Amino acid sequence: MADMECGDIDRMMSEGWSAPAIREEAGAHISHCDRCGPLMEFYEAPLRLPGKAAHAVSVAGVRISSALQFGLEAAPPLPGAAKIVGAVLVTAAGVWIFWILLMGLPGYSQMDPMRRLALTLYSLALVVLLAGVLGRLIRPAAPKPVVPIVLLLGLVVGYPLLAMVLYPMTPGRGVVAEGVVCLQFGLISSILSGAVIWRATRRGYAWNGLLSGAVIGALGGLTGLLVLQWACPESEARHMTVWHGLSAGLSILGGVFAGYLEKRRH
Amino acid sequence: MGNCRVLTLCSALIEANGKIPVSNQEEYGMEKEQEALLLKELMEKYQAGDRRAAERLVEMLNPSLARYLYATSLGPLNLDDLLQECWLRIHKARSSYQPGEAPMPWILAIARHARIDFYRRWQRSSGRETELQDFSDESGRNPKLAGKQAMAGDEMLQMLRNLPDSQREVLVMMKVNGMSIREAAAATNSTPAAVKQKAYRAYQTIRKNMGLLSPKSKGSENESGDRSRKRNG
Repeated sequence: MADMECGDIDRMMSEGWSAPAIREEAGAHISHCDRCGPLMEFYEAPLRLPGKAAHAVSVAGVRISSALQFGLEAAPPLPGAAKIVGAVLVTAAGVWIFWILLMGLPGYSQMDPMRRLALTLYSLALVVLLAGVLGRLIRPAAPKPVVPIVLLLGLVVGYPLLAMVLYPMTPGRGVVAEGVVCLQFGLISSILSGAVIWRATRRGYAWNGLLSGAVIGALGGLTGLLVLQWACPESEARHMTVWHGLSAGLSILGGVFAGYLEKRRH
Repeated sequence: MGNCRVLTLCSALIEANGKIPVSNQEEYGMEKEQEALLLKELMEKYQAGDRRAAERLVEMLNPSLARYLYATSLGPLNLDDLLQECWLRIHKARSSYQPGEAPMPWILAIARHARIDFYRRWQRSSGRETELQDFSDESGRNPKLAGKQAMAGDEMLQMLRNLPDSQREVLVMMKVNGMSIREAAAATNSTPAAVKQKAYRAYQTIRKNMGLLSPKSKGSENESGDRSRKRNG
């Protein structure tokens, strides 16, 4: 870098030091520059706590130390992302099997192989991605997850679109009566699975309570969708979009609300 | 390479008149590495329920945590309460620490949330509570009592206070806590590129506030100011 300027020094400091040759050039600049020299001396000074604050910190340190040691027990680290994804899948599968045993598989005969494949792949992909995101949302300073909002939109917007593409629209059918039943079953499945996942993630530290709640709600909502997909005999796009979609949407809202309550509680 | 190391190098460079003292760099790097390894080990032992490790951890990290909280305070400060709140959260969340990872970003990520929640609570109750600790220290402002370095430390604090929250936080993590760009990004749930940008802006603002802008930068700043004034009519 020829003729290094003061701005370059700031840039190098903010980006981390690079090659030795550039470092040498920066050193030469700093030693001759009457603006950068004093600035470096200024940065060099340690940040000192005022006397009263330093005293308060040392007193607090002793108190904190003895409080932490009192009844200290082992807290095994949270499982890795793969284990969290596996646990969420097992929970969803458990709730799904429970309902299918109870209600049978009337929806199965309505699905051709294309619908089965598309809906199963869609649901599984979302469950895996959302569970992966959840694993990071409960671990402070974990690498930044895939933007959770995109995945939530993938459920709220993606599912109705998929239903409209895969299923026919038959106007003039009694929508509300069957719909309310589906909504009930969908919500019960969501709550069941969401509650299990919520309980299992309590050991973590949710740095964003609302977002974590929304993701747990979405995972519950997806379980509800899977149950309805196989148990609901109504294979009509409007019914699925409105009622099945609504159960997933309400599940996300429920998760956000639970997250809010948890945050308030703490 | 962390910025803290860069700053140490810079001062060494000033003294050495442009020559890089390689031995200093190596020593400093090794010291930092050993400290990081020790912290990891203590964190893992603390997670396993070792009381002695908990004591050492508080001993090692409490001053650093206090400096972070002090330098990034958002309002009147009740430092010991805030510290206690941070450690309580760290204790409750200790199972979310991943063994083998650097503990400092994990700790500061928790401290950052504790700090924000603390001030939200303080803002809600500020109408009812008025008395908060005053940590102002006359000795720190008196050069005869505390020396030039203490003056610079106070001045640094003042400069930090003049920065926007996000820039101040990043600069404190990098300058005061000696974290790398990647670690600061993890602690602030941000990207390394965003951290670099914030740090650059912070360095520029400090330079400007200290009146140490180069004439060329001043010129370009005036030009950009003129341009924005023209745009705004």
